[in-house]
Amino acid sequence: MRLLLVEDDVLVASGIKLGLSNAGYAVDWVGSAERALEVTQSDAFDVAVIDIGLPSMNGLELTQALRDLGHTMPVLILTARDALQDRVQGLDKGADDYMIKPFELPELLARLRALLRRSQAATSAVLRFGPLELDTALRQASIQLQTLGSDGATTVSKQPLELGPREWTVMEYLMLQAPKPANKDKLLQALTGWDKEITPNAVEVYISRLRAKLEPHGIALRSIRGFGYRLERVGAA
Amino acid sequence: MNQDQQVTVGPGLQRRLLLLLLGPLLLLAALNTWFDFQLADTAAIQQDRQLLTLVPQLADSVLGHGSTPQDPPNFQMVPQVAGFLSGQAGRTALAVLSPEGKLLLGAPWLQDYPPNTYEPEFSSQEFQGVVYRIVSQRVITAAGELTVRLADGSDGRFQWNRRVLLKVVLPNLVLAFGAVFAVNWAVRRALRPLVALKEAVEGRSPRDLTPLDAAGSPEEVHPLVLSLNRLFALVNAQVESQRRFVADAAHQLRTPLAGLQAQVEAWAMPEGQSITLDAAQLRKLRDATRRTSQLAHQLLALSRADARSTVSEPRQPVDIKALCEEVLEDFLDAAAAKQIDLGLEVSEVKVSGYAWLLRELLVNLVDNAVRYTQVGGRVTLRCGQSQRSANEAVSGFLEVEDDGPGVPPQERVRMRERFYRVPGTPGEGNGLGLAIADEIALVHGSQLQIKAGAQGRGLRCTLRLEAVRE
Repeated sequence: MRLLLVEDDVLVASGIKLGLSNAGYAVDWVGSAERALEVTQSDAFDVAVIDIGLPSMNGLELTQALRDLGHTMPVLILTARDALQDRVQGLDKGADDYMIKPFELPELLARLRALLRRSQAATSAVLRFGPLELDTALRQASIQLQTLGSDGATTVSKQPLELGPREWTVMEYLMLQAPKPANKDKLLQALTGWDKEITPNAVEVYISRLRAKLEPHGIALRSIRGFGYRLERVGAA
Repeated sequence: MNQDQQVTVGPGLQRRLLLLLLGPLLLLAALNTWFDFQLADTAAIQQDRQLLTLVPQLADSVLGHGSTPQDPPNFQMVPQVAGFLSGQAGRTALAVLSPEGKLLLGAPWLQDYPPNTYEPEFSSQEFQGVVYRIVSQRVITAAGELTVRLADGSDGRFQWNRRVLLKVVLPNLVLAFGAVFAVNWAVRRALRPLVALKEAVEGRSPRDLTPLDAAGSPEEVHPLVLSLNRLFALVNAQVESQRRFVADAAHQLRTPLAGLQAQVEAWAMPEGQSITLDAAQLRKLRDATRRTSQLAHQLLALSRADARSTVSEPRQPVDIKALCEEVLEDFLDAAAAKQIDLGLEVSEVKVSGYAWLLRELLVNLVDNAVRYTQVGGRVTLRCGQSQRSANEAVSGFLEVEDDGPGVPPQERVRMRERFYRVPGTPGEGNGLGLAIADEIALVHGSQLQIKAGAQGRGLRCTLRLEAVRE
């Protein structure tokens, strides 16, 4: 994943760059909005992290300029002020998310993952969560299996996962929401297309069936009391 | 005080009093003058009538032509005219003019063009410092058509021109000006305590907030002085708490910063190109940094909640069910890490409040609950409507309950204080979470209730809020 980092504070920038590089991103760091506009002319980025407080042209103006130039990559805004006005303005100018400085690195990584997933979901028909893949065009679910061969090399293979039509609906909804929890009422609404008289208990039936199918592959469906369910990876950070 | 600051104020009391008093005074003077004029006018009319009665008598005194029509006519004064001429202290005169206006007889200064008509004409004329009332009329006499003129300057009231000026307008003007000075002086004197108060307030240093002396102030100013003193006391308390807060905040920030600095300095000490750190040291550093960041954030939140209580921005309807769901999502990972069952018991409710402050309050309560509840515990966010008695309005409530170690009742008041941490509390907190929640409760005109949770275990923090009907 190629990431553009626009941040003028060297200490903050080097910290973020190190953290993101360790997480597997290819980070291009520039210190001003003008440089950012230059590099985006020649190179394509999957995601951008932009600080609001930049010299001369600020981060909000840069975001607007990028959008005006037709760049569609997700943009995450960093701000030192947590004034509501900034957030609203940022989202209005075409930013996809914002974070208040100082922040914790795992949180930034989680937000970036969510942004990337959303932008990919918009362009491709395949939803992914860990080893689970849902091809919404073909309506096929599959699990990526990594098997350790006798020679020590890992081979990746796909194993189809059988899902009933209602299980599919529940699974698709959960994956669209992840890593956020899915509201049980909304799940129920998504299911009423299939069955007019569906009860909350029925949802639980599908959930427990899905659990049985997913848990062997390290994916848990955690119940959130009073709210719904959340897809989680077992043993993953 | 900034002297450049131009403030538009209403006219001063002194000026207002002056203007208000002067208006009626001048009106009275004008009325007085007008009445005097009226009086002079009626006097003039009376005199005019008297003069007019003398006109035919004067005409009768002309007995015939002189030798030519240009010579003085044959003239024999009738007694009334003679009496008029000799009486009135000599301030009378008469003249007989030819139709062309040539003086035939009498006082030369009375020579004038004859009137155009046969009607009598009245006029006033000054001669040798005396104002005469003059009647002129063309009359047919024994010597043909002549013009007769009679002038009377004897009556004081005839002097109305000058009289009006000197005796009517002048006294009134003097009176008015006298009143200006008197009113000015009186107003100045009466307002002296107010001016003194103004100077006492103006001359103060911004840090001097001791009460003003209320004893010497007049009755009307007394409430103002008392109000000012009340305000001073309020500001004083606020400034004092701010000062304490800043000092506390600086002290609190110094602790984690000192730790950070000590660590980093120690690592930077060896004279070498590379420094090796073990993971445990680094994580300690990370935790100290996070704690410092969180403290800065909380201090900011607290100061903003503080500011909100003095700035009145209208409250908005807030969907606290959606708020509970949002905050729940934020804490799912932290709860999962401790295998805490974090859940909701919510129903639709909208309350009147500030969304971001209520969110801040909820975040602090849930953070406390998740932080201090043991592994495998249970934390519940609640909201809904409640009605304590049948005749009471329905109110909304927001609640966070945990089954953690709880807080002994005697500590539940102190734990709201800023930077106070209940003795024996594990982990690293700033002692600000509940202070912030408490402050936000106050901003919403409510109070945070802290009780033990179900079956006397854990802690239950409840905030009642004004429900909004739709």
